[in-house]
Amino acid sequence: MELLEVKNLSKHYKTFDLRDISFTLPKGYIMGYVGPNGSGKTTTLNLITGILKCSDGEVYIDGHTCREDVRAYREMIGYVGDESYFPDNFTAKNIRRVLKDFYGTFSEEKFNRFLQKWNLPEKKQVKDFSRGMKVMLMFASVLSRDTRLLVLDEATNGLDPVMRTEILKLLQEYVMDGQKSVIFSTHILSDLEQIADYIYFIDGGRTILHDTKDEMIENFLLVKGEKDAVPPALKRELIGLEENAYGFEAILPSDKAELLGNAFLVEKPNIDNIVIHFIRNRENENRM
Amino acid sequence: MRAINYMKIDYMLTKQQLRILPLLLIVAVLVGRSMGDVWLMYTCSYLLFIGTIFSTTPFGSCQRKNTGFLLMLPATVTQRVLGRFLFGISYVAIAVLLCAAAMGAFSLLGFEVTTAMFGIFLCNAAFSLLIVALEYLISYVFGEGRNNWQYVGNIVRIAPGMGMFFLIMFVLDKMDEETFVADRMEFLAQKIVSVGAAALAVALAAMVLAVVISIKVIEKRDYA
Repeated sequence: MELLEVKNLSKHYKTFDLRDISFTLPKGYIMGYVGPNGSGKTTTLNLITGILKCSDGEVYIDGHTCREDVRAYREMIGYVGDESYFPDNFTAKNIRRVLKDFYGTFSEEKFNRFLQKWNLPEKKQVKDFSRGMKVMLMFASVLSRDTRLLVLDEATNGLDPVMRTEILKLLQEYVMDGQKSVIFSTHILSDLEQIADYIYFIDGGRTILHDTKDEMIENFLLVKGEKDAVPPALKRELIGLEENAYGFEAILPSDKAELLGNAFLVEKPNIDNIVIHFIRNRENENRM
Repeated sequence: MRAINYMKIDYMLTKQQLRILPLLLIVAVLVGRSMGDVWLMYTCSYLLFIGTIFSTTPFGSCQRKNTGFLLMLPATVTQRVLGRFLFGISYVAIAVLLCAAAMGAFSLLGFEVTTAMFGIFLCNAAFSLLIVALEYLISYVFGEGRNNWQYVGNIVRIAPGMGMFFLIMFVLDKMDEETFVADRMEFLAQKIVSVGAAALAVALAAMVLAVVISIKVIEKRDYA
């Protein structure tokens, strides 16, 4: 059963177009939404939360759109961004007051427990919080109510490894009941290796790859070797060919493995390898 | 109800200025006292002027990047915009209440609150409401959600209220003289109930119109 359904989502700006983004995310799963800076990740996430209006397409959360009932739709979403989205002069106390006034499912008890657990002061203004404290306050505000979908926009960037690990653990616990899902945009692809079930990769506002993480890793091979040993037929199929003094590195679709022969070193790629070589491939094409 | 909750948020955003209100009341009385016989009117004009300025503070209180939390609250644009207007109206109401208290004190001290003074006060209050409606409309049409708003916003927040304050000062000065304005004010004072009622009705109609237009504008905008 799908929790999030994104259909042909587009957003047109003067200098950037997000085009025809479509995917579904089943209940109980985590999707990593990846791409280079300016690829349209934040735009997509803002369209999902309903803060931005799409030029075309539609987003459904548990079958409901933002247009149908904005209140019910937003009750289902918990958003955590890469920087604090709270007004600077707000305190945790103010935030609790607002959450209590607006969200029917908000639990003051849970919120207080999170404040205590993460040592977040009640009366200090948000502007005086450290980056880590701001992120944890955002998590406290979304985890203390009954959301269905967590939308995380580079929420773990800049956090120390202990905090990042704690957040990844929280996310895994969040989807454990099989009713909730997470869409997670990040540059730290090793985080996705640990927790993501699906990967959606965009670049320049367009879909590049979309699959389960395991399938994506299965579908490609990381190839290394001497650059002079690459025959033209293989070179045409290599993605993101990077040459250096010692040889070359690229990825190759697994179904083209027969082109390799025995002359190259072949490894299983990680998500980082795949994403980096696809980005490099686009840069190589632009140069030509 | 959600609109009232949004109004409460605006009070949280602007809590600093609430703390200086009592100080401003003292300043208003002191400034007024130095102006001679009509000090009460100066005091009231000053308070209403402050009310119009303070009512627009939420527009400049946070940058767009810091408002995501508020934009994502489960509520409609209508409730959000209405909440902000309620905040503005409430500030004018606070100023009016302080003026009423000042009038009471003035009367207890043995001074006479004339019909003309009351008429000017009513018109002043109506004018304040009208200014808040106009400032809010300008802020929503040209401001909210736009990055270059900060500078223009400061002018929009202060200029109309200041204009009103100096206009009232001008009228009060002229009332002391045997002039055309004084004659007209005498004429208006005789019809105080209808003038005051008409001024308030116009101000409220303008407020409703400003709310409706602002909602339409924000509904069409990204980051709504």
